Amino acid sequence: MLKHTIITPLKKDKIVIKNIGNELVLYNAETKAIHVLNNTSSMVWEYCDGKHNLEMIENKIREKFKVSSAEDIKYDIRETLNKFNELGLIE
Amino acid sequence: MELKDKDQDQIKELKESYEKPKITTYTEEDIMNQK
Repeated sequence: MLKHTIITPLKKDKIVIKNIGNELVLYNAETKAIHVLNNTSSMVWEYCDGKHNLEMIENKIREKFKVSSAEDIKYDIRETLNKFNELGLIE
Repeated sequence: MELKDKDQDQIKELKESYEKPKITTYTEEDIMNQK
């Protein structure tokens, strides 16, 4: 079941971020876990700034990537945000 | 200057293909095992 409570997601403090090639590596000191994000999830992460909502993030992704208009990327973004939330990366 | 349809198509071609978002997680235990 997808949550709809994440309106304008915001990165938590104390997440160490490192760019490695096309991927982004996040270290969560609280959980001592490392998360490797591909290009698309990195972009979702980038816009977790408390100012962008799901639709705005979708528009940014459509601007950057070749996506067919029929493809429902909103679902992917929502899933990614839910995952970030579960992993304690956003609030 | 307005972009023509052909220019718009070329810009679209230059874009990277969309990949589904992926997150790979390594716990402290995973890293320790990497023993």
